[in-house]
Formats: sequence, structure tokens, C-alpha cells
Amino acid sequence: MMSLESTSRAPRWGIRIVGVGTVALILALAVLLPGLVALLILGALIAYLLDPAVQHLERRGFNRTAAASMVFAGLSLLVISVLIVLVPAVVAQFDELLTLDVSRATATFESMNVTINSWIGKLGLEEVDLLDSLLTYLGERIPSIIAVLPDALSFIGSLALFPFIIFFLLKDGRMLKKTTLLLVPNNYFEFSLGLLFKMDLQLGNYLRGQLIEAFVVGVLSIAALWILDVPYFLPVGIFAGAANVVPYLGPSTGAITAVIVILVSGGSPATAVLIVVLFILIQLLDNGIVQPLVISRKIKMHPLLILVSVVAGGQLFGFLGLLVAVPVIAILKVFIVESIGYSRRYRFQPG
Amino acid sequence: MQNRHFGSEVTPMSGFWSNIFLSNPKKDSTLDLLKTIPVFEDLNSRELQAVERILYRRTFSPGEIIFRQGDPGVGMYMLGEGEVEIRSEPDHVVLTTLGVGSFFGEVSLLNEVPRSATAAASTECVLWGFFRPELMDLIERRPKLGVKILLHLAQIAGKRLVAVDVELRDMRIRDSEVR
Repeated sequence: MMSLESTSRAPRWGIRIVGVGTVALILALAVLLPGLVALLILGALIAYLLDPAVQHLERRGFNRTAAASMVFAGLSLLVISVLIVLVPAVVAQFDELLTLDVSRATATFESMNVTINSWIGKLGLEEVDLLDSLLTYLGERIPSIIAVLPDALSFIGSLALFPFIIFFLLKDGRMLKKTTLLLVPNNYFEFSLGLLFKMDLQLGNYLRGQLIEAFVVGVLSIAALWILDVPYFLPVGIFAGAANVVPYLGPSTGAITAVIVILVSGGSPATAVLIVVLFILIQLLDNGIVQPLVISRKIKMHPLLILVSVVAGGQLFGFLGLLVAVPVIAILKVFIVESIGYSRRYRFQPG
Repeated sequence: MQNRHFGSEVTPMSGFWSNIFLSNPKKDSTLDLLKTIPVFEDLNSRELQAVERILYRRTFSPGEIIFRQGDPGVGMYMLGEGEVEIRSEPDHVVLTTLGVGSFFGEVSLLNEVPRSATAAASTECVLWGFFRPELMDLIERRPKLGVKILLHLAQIAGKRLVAVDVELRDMRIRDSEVR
């Protein structure tokens, strides 16, 4: 309480300098250390999603630190268990994927090539060589994949920070919010407080719902692919679940990946059709049952906005950028829409 | 109602207004201040500390607006130091001047109703804000404490209804006497 009081005692211009300085520091960090900023954003999102669990424990009489420690320990235990159980299976399937029978894949590509060229021939267009085009494309891309390896290593280094980020945001998130609000000038204080409250009401449900939805779709996809005896069903199913977080693009990306895997591994086109049918069924189930149950309030976002944000997120912050792009855009959208609507109800005085 | 300017001395409130903006003597600490506020009546020291942790301390210069009439209300303020004028808009009629230990704006803890008057600092002020998001959070985390506070808020709202009822009845009697 003492530190907060001394902040309030500071002269107005002092508070403003601290406020502007904080914003400048955040922007500078975003430009200079994009990976770290993406980790901070992801950590803040996870801490925000886990906050109800901490509150639940507080309701049982635990103080904030104890409650945050317990939730953090639970999360760590869950992650470690998943890693122990799932990682060997996923790695084995990835290994298999990497040591794929090339001749079988080549044969599949050649048969696809013949079919496609027969259609193209009927249309009177020039024939294409699918395999050759794919190899040329990969040949161009592989050096750039190798070039990002050092970045990936430094990313793994900053991953060590990740648990600490989550724990401290879980424990001190409320205090951080309060300290930030103390920096807001009196004229905008009530507005900022009300705006944050409104954003929390809208976003809390939405983001937690998205996470549950991705989990359900992931489990259903793994089950469907396993039933159809699709090889590498674990990594593909997990990818389909994670991709589901991205509206419009995610579900089709998951299905396309599964179809490519079955075709490349020599599966029949009939299985590919079955995969598409099952993924459509999963989406129907998701839209008809899961979504209405877990997401009480949807945040509408234009498909183009989602596409641009995902591409921009990927280019700016790499893989983490892809993951956090849609939630960040949802937060920004709610912030802009609510602040415009809410500010109309206030009469701000200058200074 | 008398029209007064900023910096005027604290004057006794009318019966009706003193019922709404109850004044209390100055106390040294925030906890002592909280104990005197009817909203936190009957809370034990641990509960008072829990409330104290979620308060926002704001300082205001003389003449600075705390909130304006018509703005969406987000919560109540308790006066720790200085004086605050409550006035109606747009005529700037001063309804009352509040001193240390007073509280105002508590209706907006229950609902986002527009502020019924403007509050402005008439001297250098230290205010402790207790806001709806924090009350909602408290209800989630410590339901027993939340219910106690809600009960007190309901009682204050009830007393206010009775006071308004009495005021209306008096006005009706005065009106019939004039006719």
C-alpha cells in the first residue's frame, strides 16, 4: 500500500512522465525484443485465463500468493504429465513422418500429377510437373528455414522465463492493474476503470471459451483420425485443435493438413474424403453444441481482419505471433469499440 | 438550496442531504476511516483490511472535478482529507459541502446509473475510491464479505427511499397548504 500511496503523492507532471515513459518502453521493447514481447503477451493471456481458478481457491480461504502457487503447481504438473505421456508418441510419429517412404510419396504425387494433367489437358492448358514444382519450392525455402535456427535457439532460451512470467502475472496481476490505473490522470480515471471492467466482461468469457473449444476440437480430431487409422494422428490432431483458435482459416487448415498427410503416406482418396466429412462433422458439432455452451458472447471479426492479423503476427513475432494474433486482435477490437462507445457517455475536461 | 462557490467553509447539511452524505469525524488511518463508513459497518479487522487492499487512493487539487453529473457511475468515494462540493448541473447550485469521513456515490456500486450530481474538490483532497469492478471481484473471491457489504448498501438505499418518501410527502403537504 505504501508504494501506491507514494505514487499518488507524486506531482501530476511526474505521473504523466512515468505514464508516457512506460508506454515508450513497451513500444521500444516490442520493436527491439519481439520474441520476449510475444512471450509476455502469451504469458499474460494464460495468466488471465487461469485467474478464475486462483479466485476459486481464494474463495476457499487461501491468500492470493498461496492460490497462485497452487494453480501454477497444478499447471506445471499438467504440462509435465502431458509432455511425459504425449511427447514420446508425438516424436515417434514425427520421426516416422520424417523417414517417410519417399518412393510411396513420389508414387502418390505422380498419380496426382497424371490426374491433374489430364484435367488440364482437357482445358487446353500447359502441363505442370507437381513434384518438380514442390522440390523447387522446398529448395528455395530450406535455406531460410536454416537461417532462423539461431532465432529459434534464443527463443528456447527465453522460454525458460515463461513459467516465471506466468507465475508473477497470476500472483500480482491485480496489483499491476491497480498500479497502472494509479498512473491515469484523474480526468480519465473513472473512464479507464469502467472500460477495463467492460473489456474484462467481454473478453474473459470469449478467450476462455476459445481455449476450451480448441481443446474439444483437438480431442475430437485426434479421435476421428485415429478411428480412420490415419498415420501421425496425434501431431495432426493437436495441430487441428490449435488451428481452431483462428476462425475461418483454422478448421480448414486442420482438415487440409490431415488430407495431405493421408495422401502423401499413400492412403486412399476415399479415406481423404472421409477425413473431410469427419472434419465437417466436428465443425458442425463445435458450432452447434460446443460453442453455445462455452462461449456466451462472440466477438465478431471480419475474415480479412483475421487473415491480415495472423499473417502480420507471424511475420512480426514468428510462431508465437501466429498463436496470439487472434486473441490480441479480439482485445484490440473490444478496446476500440468499447472505448469509443463508453467515451461518448463522458464529458472530459481538458488538462 | 443556497448557491455557494468553491473554497467555502463546511456547512451543516440539510436533513435530507445529511442522510445521503453522512459525515463522520476525521480519523487517522484508512482503516479507521473505513470503520466509520456505514457501508463497512460490522466488518471485522481482517475484512476491513481486505477492503482496504482494493481501494484506490486519489488526490485532487482545488476545483478539480471528481465526477460529473450524467457520467456513468463506477463506484463510491470516501473523503480522507479536504473538502468536496456536491453540486447540480447546469446551474452549479451547491447541494452540500462534504468534510473528512464523508462518503458519496455509493449507488453506483450497485448499478451503472448516471451520476446524479457533480462532485468537485474545493480544497486539496485525498479520496479513497471503492469501485464496482472491485466489489464484483470481492463477491467472487469472498462471498461472505461481499454479502455483508451488499446488505449494508441495500440498507442505505432503503433508508434513502424512506427519506425521499418523507420529503415527497412534506412537499405535497406544503403544496396543498399553498393552494
